[in-house]
Amino acid sequence: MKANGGNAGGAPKSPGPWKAAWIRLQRQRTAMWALGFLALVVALCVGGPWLSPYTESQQNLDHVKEMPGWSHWMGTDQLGRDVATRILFGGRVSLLVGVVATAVAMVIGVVYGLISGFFGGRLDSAMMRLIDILYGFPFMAFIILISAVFGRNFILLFVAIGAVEWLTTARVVRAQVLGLKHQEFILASRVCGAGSGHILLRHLLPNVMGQVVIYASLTVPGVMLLEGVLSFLGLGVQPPSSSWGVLIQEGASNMETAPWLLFFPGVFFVMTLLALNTLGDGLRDALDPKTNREGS
Amino acid sequence: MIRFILSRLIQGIVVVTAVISITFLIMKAAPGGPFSKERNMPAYVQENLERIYGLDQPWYVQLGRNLKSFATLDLPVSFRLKGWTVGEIIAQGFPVSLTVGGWALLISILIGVPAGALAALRAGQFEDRATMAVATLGICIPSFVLGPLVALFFGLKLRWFNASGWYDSSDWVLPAMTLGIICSAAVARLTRSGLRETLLQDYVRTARAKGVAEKMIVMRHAFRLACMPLLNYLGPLAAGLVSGSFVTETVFQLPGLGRQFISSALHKDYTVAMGLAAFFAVLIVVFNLLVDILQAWLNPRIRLKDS
Repeated sequence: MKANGGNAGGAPKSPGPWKAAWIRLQRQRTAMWALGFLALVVALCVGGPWLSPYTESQQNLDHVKEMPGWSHWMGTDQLGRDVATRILFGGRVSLLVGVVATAVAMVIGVVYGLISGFFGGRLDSAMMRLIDILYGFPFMAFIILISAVFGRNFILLFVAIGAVEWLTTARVVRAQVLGLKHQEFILASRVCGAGSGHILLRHLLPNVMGQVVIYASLTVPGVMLLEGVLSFLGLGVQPPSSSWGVLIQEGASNMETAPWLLFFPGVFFVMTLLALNTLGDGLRDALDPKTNREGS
Repeated sequence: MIRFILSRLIQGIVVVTAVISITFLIMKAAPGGPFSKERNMPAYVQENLERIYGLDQPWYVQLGRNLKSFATLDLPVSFRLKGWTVGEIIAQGFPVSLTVGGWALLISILIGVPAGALAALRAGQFEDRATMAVATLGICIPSFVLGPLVALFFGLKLRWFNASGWYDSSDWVLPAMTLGIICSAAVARLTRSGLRETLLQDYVRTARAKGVAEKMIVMRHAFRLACMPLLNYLGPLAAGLVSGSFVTETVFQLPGLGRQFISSALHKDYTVAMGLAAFFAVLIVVFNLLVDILQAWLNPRIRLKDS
């Protein structure tokens, strides 16, 4: 969605390349289907709960573990709550975590990569050394540790996941900057008296955004998976509020008696991840001129 | 070569020291300590306990002492499992994680590499599209969805294996299958893209021009280079798998290192959490080093040197 926003709206300052990429993306049928599906899921999760006659935590102990039917399209759970409504509420949380944590990761990664690539020299090699060292960290263990000892802190979850996912972005951005910074248009800008800040923000940043959008669209599903893992382990979003990870965990513990509790949240989660990954692949083909050639 | 390995080992020591320190500081920054959860404990008992374990001292003294005991391999004792040292806990859990993770790694390679190679050789054709569609779906199915389904079907419905626990000698099958199938999707995608790219290289064309059989070209010439990106992925993956998957060990109730780490984190068992995090880091460093050496051996264009 983030990727879509940046793409469909287009950056007003350089409509050319973005528009061209949008046209290339439109030619890819699977990517457009994925985009349409994502738009639908987002619309449902944002608007759906208002249309539903049930609320997220409204229990009805007379209708526990009811099969999917007319009054409850996706059945009810062990406390008689409407599964469809809970999926929509949970989707809000899962999607929000995905987008916000990705945004955190992208901001850190872009700033780090821009600085490292642009200033080069000692600073660059020190910053890249640090990334090498960070790659050796057992990050999953750190994230579990942070959520276990601080617990129930939503903002911390964003920050912890975002703080992990920026490493590759930083590397990609740096490599792009290294390729760009000696080109003529940068030199021309320098000759005109532009400072480093101007060059970084006005010339380098727009040029690396294509790669950043690709990476962002592939990071969102990764982050959503991470949130799912944490919620599944009981370390993420706490009941009674839900996320798709929480719902899948509840479904897994009731799967013998009420398999639809695992089925519907699982399908929503997998389909959304699939759409995000497909869209990411499509964006890569549309935005990265290197892979265009082969048009696989 | 030796200088390269040495510089990597030094970097590894930095990583492990940092990991131990960060683990300790995260746990220290949180409210409460390892003994604050136990109920009915008079204040003076808690104080005495904390004095015995040195928890009354300033944090930098505690951190220094812990680092020293890890450095000298005189491993500290657990706060929660009385009488157990961190080394004994790792020695008990690691075989479980290693068995499951090792088999999972093998399964993922055995499924993923042939599937990816088939897709690359039939690029654009039905085999390619079908394999890649399945693989793309595969990377989207999380272990916490597949795991319960596998346990339900093979464990509870068919009763071929225990749905959870670590009792029989066949208990590694279901968790290893879950992990292996999931990882094989990414392995297949990487194998395909690596092999496709390599098959377009000049030296492959030269081999074709010389009249080398297509089978030989793929097996002998192309494959060596094609598995470079795959190896980059497999290094950290192998480290993660053999150190115990957090989700799978929870789903299948395995007494491995992943679950041990979660419970030590929840109970603020400082020493065990530090020891396990350090052990995970050591595994990552070792596997990354192995991958680098393997890549240099496979690709004559890579020369190892300390950066």
